[in-house]
Amino acid sequence: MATIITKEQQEKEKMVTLVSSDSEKFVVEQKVAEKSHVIKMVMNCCGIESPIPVRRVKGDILKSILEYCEKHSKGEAQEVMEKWDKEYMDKAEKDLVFFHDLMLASHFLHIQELVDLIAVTFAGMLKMKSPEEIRQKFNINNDLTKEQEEHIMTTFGWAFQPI
Amino acid sequence: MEARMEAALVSGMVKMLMFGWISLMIYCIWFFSFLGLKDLCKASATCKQWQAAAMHEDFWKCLNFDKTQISQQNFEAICLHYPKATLVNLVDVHDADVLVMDAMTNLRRLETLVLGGGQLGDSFFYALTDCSTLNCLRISDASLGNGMQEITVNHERLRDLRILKCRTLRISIKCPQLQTLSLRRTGMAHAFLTCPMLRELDISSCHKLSDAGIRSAATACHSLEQLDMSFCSCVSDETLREIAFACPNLSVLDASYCPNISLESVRLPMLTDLKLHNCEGITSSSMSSVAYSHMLKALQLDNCGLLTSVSLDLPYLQNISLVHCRKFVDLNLRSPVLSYIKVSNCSALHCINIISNALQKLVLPKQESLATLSLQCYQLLEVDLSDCESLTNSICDVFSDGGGCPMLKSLVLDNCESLTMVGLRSSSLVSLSLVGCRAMTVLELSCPNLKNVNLDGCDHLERASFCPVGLGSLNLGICPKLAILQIEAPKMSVLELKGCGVLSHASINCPCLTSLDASFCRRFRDDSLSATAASCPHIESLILSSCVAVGSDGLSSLHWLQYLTQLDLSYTFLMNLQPVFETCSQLEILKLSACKYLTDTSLDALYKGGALPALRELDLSYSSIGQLAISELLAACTNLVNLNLNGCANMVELLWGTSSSHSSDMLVSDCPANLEVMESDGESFRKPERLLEILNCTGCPNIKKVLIPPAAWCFHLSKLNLNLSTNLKEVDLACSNLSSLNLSNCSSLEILRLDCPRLANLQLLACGMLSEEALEAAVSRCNILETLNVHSCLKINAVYLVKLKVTCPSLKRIQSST
Repeated sequence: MATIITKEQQEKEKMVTLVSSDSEKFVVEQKVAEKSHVIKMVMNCCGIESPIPVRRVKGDILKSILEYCEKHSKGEAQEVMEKWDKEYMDKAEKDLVFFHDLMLASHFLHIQELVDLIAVTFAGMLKMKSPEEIRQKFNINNDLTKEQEEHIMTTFGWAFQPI
Repeated sequence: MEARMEAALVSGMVKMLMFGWISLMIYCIWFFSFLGLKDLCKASATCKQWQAAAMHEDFWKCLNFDKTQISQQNFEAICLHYPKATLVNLVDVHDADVLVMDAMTNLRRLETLVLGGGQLGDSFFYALTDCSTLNCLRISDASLGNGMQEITVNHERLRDLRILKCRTLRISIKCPQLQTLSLRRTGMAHAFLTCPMLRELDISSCHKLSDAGIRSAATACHSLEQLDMSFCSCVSDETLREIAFACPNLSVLDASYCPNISLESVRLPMLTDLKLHNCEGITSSSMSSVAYSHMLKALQLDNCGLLTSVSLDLPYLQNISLVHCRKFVDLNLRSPVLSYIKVSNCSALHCINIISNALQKLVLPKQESLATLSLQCYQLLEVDLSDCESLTNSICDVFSDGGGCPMLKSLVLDNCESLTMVGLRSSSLVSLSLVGCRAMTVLELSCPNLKNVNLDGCDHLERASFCPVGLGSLNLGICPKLAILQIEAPKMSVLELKGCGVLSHASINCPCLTSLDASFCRRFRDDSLSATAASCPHIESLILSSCVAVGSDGLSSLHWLQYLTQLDLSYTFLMNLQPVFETCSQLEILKLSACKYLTDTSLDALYKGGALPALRELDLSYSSIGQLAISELLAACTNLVNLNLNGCANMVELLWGTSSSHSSDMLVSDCPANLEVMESDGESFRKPERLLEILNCTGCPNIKKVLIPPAAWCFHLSKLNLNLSTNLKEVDLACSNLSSLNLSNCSSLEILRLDCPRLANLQLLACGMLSEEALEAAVSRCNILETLNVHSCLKINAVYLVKLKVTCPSLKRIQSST
């Protein structure tokens, strides 16, 4: 009995230090860090004793990502998680720079759940918008040639008509 | 702030362009996979990269244009651009008949075509033949063909064809690979099928199809396994016979709402599932044909109005349904795997005989004619026969040991009003409900594992025997006619017999019983009480109020009850309580309310002999006990915490610690309140502290004076109620702990002196003689008084109350007439 408890405590105390590109340090439980497939592989081969550098991710982004990982390592009810995810994304969506960095980082760290969540959120931002509105929101230059635009109208013209 | 946000936004945009992340093809395709076709098209018109991503052919495998209007030019362009598309849906699309031709011409991998609404001309059906990759075609709500001619579906590879709710005259289908065909609700008069591989045919609600038409269509499909011909009202037995002959593999048949079929000479040996809802032609003779289907697993005979009996012995039958069969009388089933029976609203059903090894639950509510039930069900756990009014006493044998249900745990016989004698001997039964069995007079249970029994509304029960049962508690107070009772319950702790007014013979053998309430059992005699006390030694609470037949012999037997702490003898004619004082040494609560024949000497032992030393609560309300006895009792029994003297007409005064008291120690006055041992004249002695907390003297008509001086040692008294004591004139209290005092309706009260520093609630409702001066003097020393009720006090006016509020700042609520 006693040995089991100490073992559990050891498990609990297994912490790992992550260092962001701007040298900010984060100490998290191993199971939280494991949400990232990349960090998991690093921990498996190099152990958790020395700090793990996450060179391509800045401190503020890493902080936000670890917040997500921690929430998702608790195993809470699905409705609770969905609500939390929505709030998390609503916040991220407001700052496109942050959103962009978050997407790159989640992709780089290989956190599949978060990558999917960001993709769905991004698709949601495109829904029910005209091409001009989309260009404005994401500051995209219209580089389509006249021929290309004509081609779009011949194949997809139906989609631009009101229902 | 805004400027900063602007800056962030701009730098973000720059970054995006720098990284170009948003136009990375792989990301775009990933994002776009979450978009519908329409949003995808709009995204494509944004920039070159996005156009390239949106054009990716993976997005255009399924051309789902359900209710979307698209021009022929656009559609043709899409077909040309994405020739690998496999599905086209043009339901409710304008000119779908034209567009579909484009699709069939250009999409060389088209597998599934979904069409609906409008008209599909002959040319479509001609072209269909050349669309060689197609294997699934669905058409609904459309007019087929160009007029009077027949339409032909001629296709080599088609496997799944559904033509639903369409309008046409004739259909001819030549599809050698076809496996599933549905023509549900399509109004053709003729259907010619050349589909040798067809397994599943649905011609439900094809009202224009004739008997011969159905016969020729179905018999042409020799591989048929499932046939739905429900609502084809013209189908005849002859047709069914031919289908059975031509389709030897038929396993699922739905012939519901086919009034002409009786299944005469129909032989379907492979049948597993048969639905015959609302078939007027199905009678008991049809069952011989059903019995021929040895493989049958499920049988539905709901609403077969002429069916009178079902007798089946089928080795694989699992499921049977008989609902609303109004002439159905007799059910006889034998199947080792039968697990579900649905029988309801069969008002004529009289006899049921079931043999099954798998049935666990049998629910047959409201079968009002059911009289005979025979079960050989070794797994049966639950039976509900609520409202089966014709069931007779013999039903009990079915559920007793040896009756065919050895595992039965729960039995419900609610409102079975023909049951008069219920006798169950079951070692498995745990729960029994006999709610509303009003005709039942005798109940005999021998069920050692019975944990729950519900007898609500069994108000004609006269004799009850529970020997043995596993019940933990039982309430028989709802059976007013119960005369003879026998209980043997090793686990029972609570028994209520309250109101069993004619109970004369009770044999109660419950060694764990702690609480027995036999109030109003007027015929409960000494012999029953003695026997009960002897066999239930753990009783702690015994309520014998209104048990007028109990006398001294019975009370003497209470010596068996070593743990008795509560005894209620209210409303009895007892005069001599000596047996109680002698035998119940542990007693804490004694209730003697309304014992009219008690005399002052009855209680002598209490205050003279020191009997019942543990007594905490005593109720002498409405008794004939005299002033002297009350005074002595108050003086001597200092351990009482709660005393009720309501309605004691002989009480004239309540005087503590005056010279009139018989107790010498009461004379000691001027004692420091908080000391038990004290010095007085150099002499040391012990003074018992009075533990009284609550004293109720409501409605004592003759009490005139109440005096509790500090010498009375009432340090614990917190509630005093003298409500409705109409002759009470003078009240003088010095009680350090009193918090609530009720003197309402004491209409003679004139003098009120209070030295009660903790008093919070003072009720003086309708004290008509109380003056303002007397009130002011009374409350002047009540520093924390919060509530004062002087409603209907005629001598106290509103102006004075305003003043009182100033002088007595702790007051929060004053109730008055104004």
